[in-house]
Amino acid sequence: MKLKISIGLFLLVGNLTLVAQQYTEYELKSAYIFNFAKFIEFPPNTFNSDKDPYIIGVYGNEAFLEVLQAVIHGKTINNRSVIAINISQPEDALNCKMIYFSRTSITQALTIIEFLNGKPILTIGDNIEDFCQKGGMINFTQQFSHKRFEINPDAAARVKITISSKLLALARIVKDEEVKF
Amino acid sequence: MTQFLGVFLYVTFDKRQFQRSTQQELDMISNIIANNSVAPLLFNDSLESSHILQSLKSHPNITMACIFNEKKQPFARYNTHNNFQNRSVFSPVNKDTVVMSDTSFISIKHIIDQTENAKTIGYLYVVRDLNDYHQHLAKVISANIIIAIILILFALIISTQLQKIISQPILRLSGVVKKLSQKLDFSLRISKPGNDEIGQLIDGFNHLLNTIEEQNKELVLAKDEAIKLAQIKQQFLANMSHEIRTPMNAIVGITNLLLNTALTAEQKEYLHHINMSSNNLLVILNDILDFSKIESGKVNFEKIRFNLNDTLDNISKMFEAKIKEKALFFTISKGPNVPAFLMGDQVRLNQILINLVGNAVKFTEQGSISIQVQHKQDLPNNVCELLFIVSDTGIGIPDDRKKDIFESFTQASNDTTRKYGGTGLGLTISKQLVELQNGRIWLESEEHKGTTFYFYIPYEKANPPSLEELQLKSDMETRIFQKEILEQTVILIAEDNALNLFLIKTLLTKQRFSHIITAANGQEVIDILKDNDIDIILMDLHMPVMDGFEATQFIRNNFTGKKQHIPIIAITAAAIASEKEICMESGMDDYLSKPFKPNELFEKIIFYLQKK
Repeated sequence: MKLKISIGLFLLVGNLTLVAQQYTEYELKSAYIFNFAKFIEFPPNTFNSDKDPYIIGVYGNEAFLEVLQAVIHGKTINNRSVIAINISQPEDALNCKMIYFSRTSITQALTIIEFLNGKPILTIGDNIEDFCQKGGMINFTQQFSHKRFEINPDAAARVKITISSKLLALARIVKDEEVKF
Repeated sequence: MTQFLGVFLYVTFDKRQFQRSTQQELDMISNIIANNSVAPLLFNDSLESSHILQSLKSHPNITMACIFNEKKQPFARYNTHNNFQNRSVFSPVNKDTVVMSDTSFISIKHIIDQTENAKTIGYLYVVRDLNDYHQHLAKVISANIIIAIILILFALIISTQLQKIISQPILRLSGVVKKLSQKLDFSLRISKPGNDEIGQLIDGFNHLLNTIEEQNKELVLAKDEAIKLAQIKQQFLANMSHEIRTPMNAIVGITNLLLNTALTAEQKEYLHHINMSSNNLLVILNDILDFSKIESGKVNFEKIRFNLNDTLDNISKMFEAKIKEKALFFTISKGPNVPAFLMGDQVRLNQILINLVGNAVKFTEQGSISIQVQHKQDLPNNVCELLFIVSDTGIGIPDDRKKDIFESFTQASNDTTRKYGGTGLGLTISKQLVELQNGRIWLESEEHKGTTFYFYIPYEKANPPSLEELQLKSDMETRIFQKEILEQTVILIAEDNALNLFLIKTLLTKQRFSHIITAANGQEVIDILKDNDIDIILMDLHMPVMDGFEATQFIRNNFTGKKQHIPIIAITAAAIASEKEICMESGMDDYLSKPFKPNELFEKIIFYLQKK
């Protein structure tokens, strides 16, 4: 509870301070997140049916969730509808195909990731330090970086997610710092 | 020409091919680029996008490429060095297109995000120049031209060869034909190059020429023979004419003389029959000679002034007796506008009328005979056509004989000669005489009802004789009775035939010519003329030692003064036209053909005496 409140406050503050740029940055990142899905291949039977929606989970940033929801509203990926949910509890994460960690510390993120336990779920970090090095798959970089995001393809490969080389070409490739099983 | 057509077609085809393959290639490249550009566009990575476009460097002909984002703003660009285009704005297209121009192909392609319902997320613009094509084209054209030239040369070589074999012989053939038709030299032949069809043609041609040449030779021979025959015939005619007329002349002449002596009625009757027969014979003889003359085209027509009325009178008198004998009704009439004086051949007109009227009289037993003269029409140059109509109520001519009636040697029926006599030449001669004078003759007839003959001849209108001429004529007529002149005139008669000589001498003596000298040949004429004063010479043509022509020529060339110009009248038995000309050419003044009417002789003699 305390953690939540502090996170919430942090977020709020974070939100307040970034209110001017925030909207476009969130839109942009939402678009990126949405577009990532186009270059991801999940292992077979990840979806139960063709009608199964593509669920994106957002952890730690409800404001971002709102924007994401607005951006992806009505869009489809390979004719699947795309929806975004808030991850308040770890159990929520299990239904997602993508999880976006925003305003989260690496520790918090890794905890959730551990909870995922090898499920084929794409993990994306919002410029979280060492995200990819410590097992995350995609991490947004600092503004004005050469590449907009970094990717750890091995991390994806471990859970049998294939990331298209086209996406990899746009990213800064990161290798595992240490192997974590 | 075919070559260049071929080149053109090939180039066109080649261009199409090139265009198609270029388009395909360009499309393929654009697709690949577009495909690879989806991610950069989605993630707004223009750097990566440019990086991808850079791969186009490897293509030598792509000079520019440009990617525009969803908002049609330039996103990434690729340029080669020599690119002068700087397209930052472009016209939007709804679907992928390729713009083709002579210098470049421009591909405009939508960059599509397939995962999101084929949404267009950007536009790819690729420019490909056509330098390689132009070079290629140049190579193709020059290669083709070289090939074309080689083929043309090849064709030339073959054609010259063919020319020798085919064209040349044909040209030579046509050359020979041309020469032939120009020079008509059938001894030309063509040389034969080989045994093929051309050779055979030439063979045939040469053979033809052979045949023509031989035929020509034969024709020439035949023609020469024909000419010789014609000449022989001419000569025969002349001779026969002379041979027959001479005794005829004697018979007729002496018969007339006899008739003027004291005779018993019986003697007179016998003489009368002889006279009739000899006259008939004369007519027949003249017919035959006339016919031969006309057949050989030796008839000339006079153009002397004569009085039509005299002619008609003459006819009337000639048949008066016979008509009265048969108790036929006879009329002569002239229509209006018929001129009295005409220029033409009165003798021939007489002949035609005598023939027609004679037939009318012969073939009419009862009824009437009429002669009409009408003015048919006026022609230019003071000529008028006169229509003569001889009509009778005689036996008529059957329809089936009408068309043959003018044919030689035919008469209306096979009995005609037996019943009516005649040679059957009269109508033929009349027809020819009419037609030779530019007229026409035809008939109408109904059996047992009668016959009408029509003919017209154009005659030049003549002026009536002037007062002087009439005076002269009457003077001449009065002078005939001036005994003194007649008694003083010295006439030289050259005639080798004793009988004829006797005849003429007697005639002249009767007319009171008392001074008559005779000669038996041309030489004697000359000798006599040398030593004597002669007023006029009557010259027979065919005499031994020297004939009339030679003598006349001698006189004209060798005497002088009065003797040189002495009037010479030719007296001849042969009445061939050419002879008359020869007489005139020899220098004679006039011409009389035996047998002649005594009056004719006198008139001529008086005329020439008068002229002095």
